[in-house]
Amino acid sequence: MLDRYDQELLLDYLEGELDADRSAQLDAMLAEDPQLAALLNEMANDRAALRSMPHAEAPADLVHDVTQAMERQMLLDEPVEDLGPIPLSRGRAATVETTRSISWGRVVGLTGLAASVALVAGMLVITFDDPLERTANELAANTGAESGELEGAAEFAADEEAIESFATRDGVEITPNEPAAEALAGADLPTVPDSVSDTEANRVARGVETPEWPGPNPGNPAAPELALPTEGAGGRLTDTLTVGTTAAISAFQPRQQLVLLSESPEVSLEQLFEFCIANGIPVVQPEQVSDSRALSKAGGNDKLAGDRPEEDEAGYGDYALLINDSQLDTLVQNLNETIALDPKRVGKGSLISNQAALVSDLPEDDLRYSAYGAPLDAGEDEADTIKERSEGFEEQAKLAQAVELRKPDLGSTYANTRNRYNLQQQQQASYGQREARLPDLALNEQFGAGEGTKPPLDENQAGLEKPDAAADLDAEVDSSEEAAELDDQAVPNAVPAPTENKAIEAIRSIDPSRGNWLSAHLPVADTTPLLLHWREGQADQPTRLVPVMIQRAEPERVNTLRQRQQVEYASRRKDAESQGEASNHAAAESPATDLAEVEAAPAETEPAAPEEAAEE
Amino acid sequence: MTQPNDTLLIEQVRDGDTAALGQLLEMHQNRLFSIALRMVSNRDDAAEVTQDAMLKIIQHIDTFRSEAQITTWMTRIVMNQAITRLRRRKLRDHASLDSTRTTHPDSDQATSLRKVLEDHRELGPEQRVQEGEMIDQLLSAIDRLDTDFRAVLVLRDLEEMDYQQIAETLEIKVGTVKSRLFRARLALRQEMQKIAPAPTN
Repeated sequence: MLDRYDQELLLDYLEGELDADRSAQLDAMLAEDPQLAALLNEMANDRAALRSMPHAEAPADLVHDVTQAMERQMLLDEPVEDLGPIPLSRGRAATVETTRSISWGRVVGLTGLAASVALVAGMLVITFDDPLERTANELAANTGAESGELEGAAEFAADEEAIESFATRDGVEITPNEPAAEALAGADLPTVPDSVSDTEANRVARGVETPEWPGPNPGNPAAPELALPTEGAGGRLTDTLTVGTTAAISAFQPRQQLVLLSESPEVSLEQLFEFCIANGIPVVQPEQVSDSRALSKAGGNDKLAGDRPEEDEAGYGDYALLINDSQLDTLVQNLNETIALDPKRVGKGSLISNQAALVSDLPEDDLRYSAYGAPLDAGEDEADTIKERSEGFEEQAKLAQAVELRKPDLGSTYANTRNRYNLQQQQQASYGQREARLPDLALNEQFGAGEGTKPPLDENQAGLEKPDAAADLDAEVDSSEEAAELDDQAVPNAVPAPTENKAIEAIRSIDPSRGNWLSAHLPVADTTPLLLHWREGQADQPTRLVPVMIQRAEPERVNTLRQRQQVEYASRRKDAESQGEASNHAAAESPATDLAEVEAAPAETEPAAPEEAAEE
Repeated sequence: MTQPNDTLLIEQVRDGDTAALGQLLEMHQNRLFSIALRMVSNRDDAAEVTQDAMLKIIQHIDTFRSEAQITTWMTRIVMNQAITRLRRRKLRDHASLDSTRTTHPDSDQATSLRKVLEDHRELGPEQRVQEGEMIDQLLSAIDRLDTDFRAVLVLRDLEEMDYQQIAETLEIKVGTVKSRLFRARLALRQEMQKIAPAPTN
């Protein structure tokens, strides 16, 4: 009936939007067609009735419920439906790890910035603990004490095996690792005077604007590009991030797990927590994530942000942050701005860089526990036996010793260099020389000194002026004891002069599939951020440099891993059920009936037998 | 429609002011809940839809561009949530033998709306009965409409949005809004006709 009419005209009539001319036109139509007039009249009545309906009142506690749910999700990291959970381990730890928090940080992102300002005042060092070392020691110390502990140990070993399985399944040939330290020792690292180092606090005090952090991949072709190495070229990377307490967790997680250590009296743990909370970063104790033994000891209660964990003998408490990429960016950026340019921190290697890498030392005795294949629930004697039967351990020990010998050079020199290089980049940017690249004398000569030119690369390079602020700071630092310490530690002249690329190559040569601490925790990937940290041990123990590399988890890669893990888990579960060998814990769980349940289900792998480990 | 202090509240929320967040949500909760209720026709479902929408709003408020109206943005979110809920329900209904869903006069929405009207209006007994019957019929008719028709009617008549706002909310063109609105009104009349045929003289 209405096909022959202009529907827009009819709609405008109903909506009361007809002008006089069109209204007259419609009136004529309605006079000719009473049916149309009746229909429009009824439609107009319907419209009026609809519009007369008042707004319904929401339930009184609606907003309250929402805010409660939000806080609960933030604190407990409850599941969010659009992120598939990832198998981790049994029990509550899985709940913590396999979910994503509501990003409160998105809501209060600027609070994080404010909190980071608090960090400016103090010196916060985010230290990456050596998780395998510590967990292994704990396991060894408590072997067989309780059934729950054994379960935890097996669980941890299962995680280990899962990591290994990824590597071996992908055809990675486990070969002895080239001592990266030797290559690094010959790295030609450009030097920049200590005097250009600055601190945020100093800059603020002087009213100097903080240079913008260049961020990952600043686009400088001279900057080290840590591209993903191809298979067969020095081994293969672990699939995802391997940082923090449990490498196996990281392999299944799209998030980073960092272990924090606050050693600065100026920055309280509360401030640290505030920063984390403001950025939506859940804080838990690493043991509670990686080791169900700790969970059982703690009565199954996860300690969350705000709960102060126990301190270790050195007076330090470790905290695990479950952090995603965007949060990591925020964290790294803020901390870089606050502490990276601190001369004191530079000297101690607490540089947070996005494109650098180092190897670490590890006591020989700990290697046996961190190597794949060694059952982590084995006693010390058994572990020793395994160690003797494994040639790889000796190589690892040698590597560790080599790294230990090179530590001063590797740590402070590289950290200093990277730090200075970054600062130099910032200075270059501020001078408007976008084309400025790595230290290049020819370029320096070409551009000369003065405003608008490339800043000096080395104080020994004649004819180049430093910024006034840097010169001021120069005097301050030079006169300080820290400066002297820095100079002593840096020993740039003691290192031969290969190129920085060699260092990168050396890092790439680290074989993650080796399974030792170094390789397992130093994957190298494109846009790999690196956190260099220095942790001061107990008074009677040597200072240790613990650099840790963070590899971003690429979503596609993570999804692939998830699928693999799901298939593997389903297969193993099926096998275990058919053989009646499923654990009590697994038996208590309802079968995974859908994808979400499968994803949420923990990885159930059995620890490798000692014989298999030895063979591997 | 946008409250004058919405912008200020949003800024405060972005600065981490949780109190401002609560205030912002409280300001819009009735409106969002009403939209959800009209869309899903069930008070419990509407509460869930509104809660989900609020969580989305919280999650993504830092992506909200100030040049857009916060009301439009929030409405879009709750509308998307409601549409998602309706689609899931439709799938369930298809899978169920008992798939005939109509808004019963005693249904949740009808009851709540009647209560709202009774609370808000002082009507005579006869008027109240007629009003109640009209509401029941309207809600029943709306519930039979396609989701697209329902959405455009809710936004136009309940939210009193203009065509441009509806277009932004539903992410369709203005011309599509107009044609869809007319067809929705026509479909509504047809459904009303089925429920309560006009007396023939």
